[in-house]
Parts: sequence; structure tokens; C-alpha cells
Amino acid sequence: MNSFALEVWDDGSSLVTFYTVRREGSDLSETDKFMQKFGRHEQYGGALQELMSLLFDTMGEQFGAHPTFFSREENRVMALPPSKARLGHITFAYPHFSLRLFCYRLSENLVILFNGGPKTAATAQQSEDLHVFFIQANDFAKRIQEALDEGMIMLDANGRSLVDFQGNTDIYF
Amino acid sequence: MENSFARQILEETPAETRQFVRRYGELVVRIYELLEEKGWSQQDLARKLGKNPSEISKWLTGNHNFTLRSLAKLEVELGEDLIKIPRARKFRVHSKKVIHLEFASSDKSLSTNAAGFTKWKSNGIPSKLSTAS
Repeated sequence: MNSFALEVWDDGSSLVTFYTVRREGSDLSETDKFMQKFGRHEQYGGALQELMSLLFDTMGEQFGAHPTFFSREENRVMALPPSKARLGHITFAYPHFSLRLFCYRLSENLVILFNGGPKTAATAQQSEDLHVFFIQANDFAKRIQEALDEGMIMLDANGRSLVDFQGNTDIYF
Repeated sequence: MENSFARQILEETPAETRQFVRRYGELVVRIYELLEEKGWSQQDLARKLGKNPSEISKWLTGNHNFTLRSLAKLEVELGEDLIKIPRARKFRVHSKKVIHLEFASSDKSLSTNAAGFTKWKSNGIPSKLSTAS
């Protein structure tokens, strides 16, 4: 995988900081590519609005990144919104949602967003347009988790931002 | 730093959509918390509701739209309200007002059969009932 930067996507919410990744040489982050593609989209624009409300209203201001709002973990990456989010032992569906945004939830207060797309089959792996982003998201998540495990990056004291071992907030892989 | 495009999309989102997402989140988290508190599984809940676990699974996996009735059943079994609906205002007793009748009769004695209503009087209690002479 090419080099990428891990950077803040939006930290304007009371409870959650949303990070994203940006590939070397790219002007747009992976999540901004997703937004550009589906923002005001004739078919998916409404779904994207619901997703933004879930991120900024429900998670950002009401509950934080509660595990309930994330689909079951497939490898490392989770999809937003949940198709069958975990509720203890119960699953609960987000009805008729057509878009998936892959993400990596590090804590109640920090979520890393990647790219995504329309879910056209029962699983992300079976959805043709989605599968490539699922693979990419897993690669990003693997690199990030390794850096966390090795102490190259860490959560700061309040759990809302990431710093590298030298205390830098600009993080490059 | 806010993501301006994402925040713009949020601003363009209809209030109804944001309300739906908010209520959905509240409902899901509330059910989650209650199940956690009680240490219940889906099977436990199904048993208490007298339902087949697969039917409860439909309720909770999007194959069943929640109705007021299904929410009421959940509320009873979970022992807590899932949705609270505020009343618009408290019931208010209007100011005390006594309405009495004055009526006239050729007969000096008071009688409910007295003929000829003269007027309605709506305020205060009269010191005595008046009768036409």
C-alpha cells in the first residue's frame, strides 16, 4: 500500500472526533472522495444525509461512538450505518439503508472514516462497487492498528485525538 | 476543524430526517441499555413476550416496522418506557363560577314548576332568590 496521512476529518462535535486517511499525492481524503461522489446524488443523496445526521447529531452530540451504531466487525473494519448493529445479543437493523461507509472505531470518542459506496448485495464482499473499498479499508486499519500496538501512535489523554511517539498530530505512514 | 462540505450536507438535511435518525438512535440505545441491565438475550425477551425467537428477530432486524403495539409490548416486558410523549399542558380547572337561575312566578312560593324564566345570572350567589310579585 502507498503512503498515507492520518488526519482529522471533523472535530466540531461535542463527543466524537472523526479522522480520515489521505493517500500521498491526493488532494482529497478517502472520506471526502466518498462525500464528493454521493453528496447531493440523485439516488443516494438522501441516504448520505441520514449518515451525516447519524455521525454529527446522534454520535457527535448525543451518545458518542456507541457500539450499537456500528455493524459487526468484519476483519477489523466496521461499516456505517449498521445493517445489523450489535445490541448485546440482539441485532437491530438500520432499515433500508443503501450506502456503507467503512470505518475503524478506536473508542467512544474517536472514529476513523474511510471510503465506501452502495450496498448492492447481502454482504460488503459481494457488492461489486463496495468490495474494493472494503479491502482498502482493511489495509488502512491494519497499518493503523500495528502502529498503535507498537506505540508509534497513541490516543491522547482525553481519547479524542491521535499523536505519534514524538507528540506530533500530523501522522504519516 | 469542521468538514465544511459534510456540515453543509447536514444543514441541507430535512428536519424530519434528522428527527428520524435521532429517535432511531435513542430507541436503539435505550433497548440496548435495558437488555444489558437485565442481562437478557434475544431468546429471553422472546420467551417473556411469548413469541417465537425468530419473530422477535424480525422485530429487531428491520423485517418488521415497529408499531405502537409492538413498542408497548416491549415496554411492558422491559419494564420501562421506550418513548415518552409529553402532554401539551397541564389540565387546568377553570375559575369557580356559579350559575343560578332567577325565575318569576305568580305564586310566591318557589317551585321548580314556576313559570317564566326572567334571566340567567352567572356571577355570584344571590343573598336570596328573587321572585316576581
